[in-house]
Amino acid sequence: MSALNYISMALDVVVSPVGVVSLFLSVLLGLIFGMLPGLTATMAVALLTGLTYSFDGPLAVLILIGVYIGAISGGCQSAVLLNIPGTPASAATAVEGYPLARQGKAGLAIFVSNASSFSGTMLGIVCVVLFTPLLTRAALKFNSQEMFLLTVFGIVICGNLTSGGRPVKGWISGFIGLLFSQVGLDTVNSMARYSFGIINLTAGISLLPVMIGLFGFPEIVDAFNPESRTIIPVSKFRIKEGFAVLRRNIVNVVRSAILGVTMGAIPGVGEDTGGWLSYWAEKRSSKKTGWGKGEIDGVVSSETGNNAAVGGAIIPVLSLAIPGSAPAAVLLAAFWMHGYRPGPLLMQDTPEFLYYVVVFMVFSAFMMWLLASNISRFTVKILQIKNEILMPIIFVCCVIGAFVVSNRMFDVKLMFAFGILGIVMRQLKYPAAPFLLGIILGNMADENLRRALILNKGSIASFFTRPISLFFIVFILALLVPQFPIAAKLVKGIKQRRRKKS
Amino acid sequence: MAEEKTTQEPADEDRFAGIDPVTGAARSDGKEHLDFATAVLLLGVSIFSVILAYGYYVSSGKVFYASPGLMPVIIAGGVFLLALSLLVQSLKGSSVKERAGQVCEAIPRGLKSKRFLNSSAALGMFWVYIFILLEFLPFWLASLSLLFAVFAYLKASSLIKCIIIAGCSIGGIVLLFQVAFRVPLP
Repeated sequence: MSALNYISMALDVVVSPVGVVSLFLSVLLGLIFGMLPGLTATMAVALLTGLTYSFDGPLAVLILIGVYIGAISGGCQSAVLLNIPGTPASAATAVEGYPLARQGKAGLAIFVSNASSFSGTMLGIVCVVLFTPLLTRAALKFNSQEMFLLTVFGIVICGNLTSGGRPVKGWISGFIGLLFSQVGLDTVNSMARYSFGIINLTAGISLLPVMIGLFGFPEIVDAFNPESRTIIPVSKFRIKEGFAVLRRNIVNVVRSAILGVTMGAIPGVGEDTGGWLSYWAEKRSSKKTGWGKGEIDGVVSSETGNNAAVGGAIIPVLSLAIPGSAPAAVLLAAFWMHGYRPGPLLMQDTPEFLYYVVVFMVFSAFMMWLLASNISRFTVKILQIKNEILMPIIFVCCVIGAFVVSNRMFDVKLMFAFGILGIVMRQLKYPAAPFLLGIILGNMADENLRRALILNKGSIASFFTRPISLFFIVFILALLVPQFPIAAKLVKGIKQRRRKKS
Repeated sequence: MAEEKTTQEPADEDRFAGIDPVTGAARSDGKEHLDFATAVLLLGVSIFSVILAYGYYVSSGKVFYASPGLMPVIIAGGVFLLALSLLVQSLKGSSVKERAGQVCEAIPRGLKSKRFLNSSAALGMFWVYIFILLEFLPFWLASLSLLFAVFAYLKASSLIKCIIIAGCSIGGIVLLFQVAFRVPLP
């Protein structure tokens, strides 16, 4: 059969009445999961994997892809409106989106986020079709050395971006996050670290209680202070204005999509880093000065980046059966459950599957944009609710979000503890985002560093002889070194000497 | 002076002293004494972490590069260096004694501030909810009690409206999470 036949088979599934209703409900469910703090894309895909067990294979795949795309996109709404990222992938969106909402531009911010999510997903799909073999080869060049350095690089740029002019504070936050990620059994020898005999801590620190505590708690507690109890006016915006922002950001969108797809394609990195890296790239190239105070270009880059990573994460799933992110891992398991065997033999065993995925992603992206744009008309009204009513209700949702991770009260208590830490960090102006990224990437850094050293019998030479690894080292040092007073003095001295000579 | 400089072209002499080379924003925020206190605390935490990590290395019986102590030592070392850098920055134009004095003065002032008292009230209510109410009462009753108490404390509305809003919210939450999504509640 030809490609056209496979595409028409996929279209048959999508445009059938059952297909349309399933797509609508799955994307809507994904958006709701993404919006609610504590419910993640991984959870949404996992939940629907069970529910679609008895469905036909293609229909189940359509539902699972729909919920995945919906959940990653939905996270931006709570990030913009409440400064609580619905999913970790939207943390970068909150940096610029929330200040925009505080300025009364929540509608514009959400419209632009949705449109960027759509663009990111579509460009991600194009990359799936065009670059699957190429990107798979590139991603496979990332060995343990590169993976370790990529995590350090992530922390360093995230610290730089969110520190409001004091990178040292951002990096401290990131490194403390890395230190917390070491709590629990280590991934190589299963030895308990920093658990102090507390059994619950030997399982490690779950990401969600930390995320909710760090981001949500300070906002909630702030509602108790009279000066923060202001109702934010939501000014109306014209769709034209939103499209003008997007037109102005075409280069930004393309760059962010490429970065997002690449990050998504690297196994274990995923949507979070895709969003952050795209935001960083835009901030570096932009001449604007309002970063951190509501720069709409930042929303475009982070949302395009994290949604393009969805396409990227599917590339290794399809070609190597290696998931690029946590939700993609659940998706892979679901594909297996429905009888599809992604991997090198995919095109030989089930050639129609690639076309199903591509067509379903395209339709899911359209459905996501349509639904998200309509939902946002109602969600922006959240800002009209008095803070002293809204925030306690959000707190109860946060408690549920922390609890459902492992169905244990320990995680709720952990959220409370990290919430207090979040308040202290905010008071002392330490950004929370690098801390979160540290927790996400910590175990990956540990595992890869030790693997690289064990394979090279303790020698660090391989870090300097591999080109990609060397590139990361140079980049990290270029960001870090100037912040240390000794290095700063050295550079100053050299410059003064040069001036005297000239 | 530092605040007046533009983002694009920070002067060379300020590049590493008061202006961030990436954002161009001013570094000094008038809270250097708090940075000083944080840096001292972080130095202590990093040393404590290194000591514990060394213990993991010894008890694992493996070579250092393969032991569970390697990564914690590297991370804690990083925290130590960064805390040291923060300490040096916070001591610019001042002495350890002066900064310590400022910290001692700031603590009672902070404890008496309205913001601290309001935040403490919030934390107190949430603590009671998480550590007492949720342990002994069903979720809906514990949450209803919390919402009503918080609404009443914040004078969000009249008492009757507070009860209605709290009841509707909890009803909605239970319906959405437990009934619709079958999510187990605490």
